[in-house]
Amino acid sequence: MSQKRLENWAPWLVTLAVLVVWQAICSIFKVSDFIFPSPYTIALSLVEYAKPIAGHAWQTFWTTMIGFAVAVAVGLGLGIAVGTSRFVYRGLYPLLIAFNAIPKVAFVPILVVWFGIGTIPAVLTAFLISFFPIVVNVATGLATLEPELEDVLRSLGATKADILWKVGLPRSLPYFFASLKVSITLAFIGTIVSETVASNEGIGYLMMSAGSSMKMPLVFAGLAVIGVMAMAMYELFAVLERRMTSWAHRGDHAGG
Amino acid sequence: MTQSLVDFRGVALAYEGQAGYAVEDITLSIEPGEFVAIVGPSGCGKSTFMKLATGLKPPSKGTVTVEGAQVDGPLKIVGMAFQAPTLLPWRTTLDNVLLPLEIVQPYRSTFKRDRAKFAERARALLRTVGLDGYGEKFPWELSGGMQQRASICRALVHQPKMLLLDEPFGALDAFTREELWCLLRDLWSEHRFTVILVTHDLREAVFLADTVYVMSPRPGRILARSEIDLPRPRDLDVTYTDAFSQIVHDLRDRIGRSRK
Repeated sequence: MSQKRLENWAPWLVTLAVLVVWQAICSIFKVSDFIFPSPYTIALSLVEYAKPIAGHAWQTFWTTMIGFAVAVAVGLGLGIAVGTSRFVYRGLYPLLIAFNAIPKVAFVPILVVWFGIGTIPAVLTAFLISFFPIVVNVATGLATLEPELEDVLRSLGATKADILWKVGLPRSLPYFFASLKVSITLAFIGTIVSETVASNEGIGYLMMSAGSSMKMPLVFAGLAVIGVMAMAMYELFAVLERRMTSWAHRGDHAGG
Repeated sequence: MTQSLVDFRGVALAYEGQAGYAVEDITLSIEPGEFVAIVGPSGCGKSTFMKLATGLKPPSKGTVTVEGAQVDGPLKIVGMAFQAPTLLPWRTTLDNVLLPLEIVQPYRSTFKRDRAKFAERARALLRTVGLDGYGEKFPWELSGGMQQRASICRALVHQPKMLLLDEPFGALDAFTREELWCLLRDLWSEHRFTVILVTHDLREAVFLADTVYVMSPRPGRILARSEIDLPRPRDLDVTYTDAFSQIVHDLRDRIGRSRK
């Protein structure tokens, strides 16, 4: 039981330990705040700039959420298409892989030409960077259906839609939720990348402008805010995953 | 002579992209209510035979006739069970058993309305296979033998005329296997559906079946047809009699010869 309790506290303890060591290094070696600010000075600037940080964080947050929502919709659609049709799989998959290999930051200038700077390129970058894992996972979940099960259903006169609805989709739910956890963090990366080069709003922009005016503690405060947001969203989807697909995680809780 | 349920005339099947036939020159007929076992070494096309009999695969040569009509698509009068129970882990055992009724007509159209009635039928079926009270459990909470029982219930819930079993007891331990032999025997003598049992266990085939077909290695052909005239009802004790051993031994010989 105490082992279990220790495990629950582990993330907090480790974070605390890292902060303490970090602070100690900065204090003992008198590292300049301009080079590598200590947690304490970062905290101070977080408080000092709380208002603008909150505003930019909110901008980054909803931009990411829109991009992510589009990624979920497109990812699901493409994943189902790729996972159920051999033709689409053969035709589309190489293209998708090639696309995924392109650094998404390379798209930002193009998006800026098309849409101007601001929220739209950020939403699109978040979408572009985060939909691929969803496609792959949903497609994998659908494609790994046991042939025997398909025979059972087909011999009952099940249509393709029946098989997809009764077996394929429920079966790929664990894959889907696993991909959401990866995608949400990627979506944040997309938003920040785009904001850094092409926006007047958002945490990415805040960090860029703080950096150019030598406010290193504020830059690090921005990093901390991104980290916390991404972690919170990841945890949200992890909880959702456990709720929705407990049958796939039966090892976690004895007896289920 | 009464009309046979399943009729194979010179049937052969070649899979796309594979040289040669998987099965070749299969001619046989199965009477309604007959218990047929097909035995042979692994890779002899036993499962291919199943796919042909259910209409999941059309024959490359010859004709498959079921109930007097040539088969040209998946039949809806069959239930199937395999070596792996293939139950859906997100459904309770009861919901797993109900799955065919959600798909096959005429149950499908009235499923929502008659769900309680169907659930009662599924529970009764679970009761007959000794799974009383396990309906609300998830498949992964059951043992392998229990899962296989549930899988057989799923194959029978829509009252198919034909039950196709592909090595259904292959993954079970010897005691559970013999228990399920008796279970299948009792279900069959009560409902008298036609059974096609694919197996490589000769004792299983002889104990359960009216007729045993022996298949050769690939390309699979029917080497021998043997009517098992052991009196019914058969008890497990029959498997220890000389007559039983003699039949098993003869069949074993034929398979042995075919492998040389």
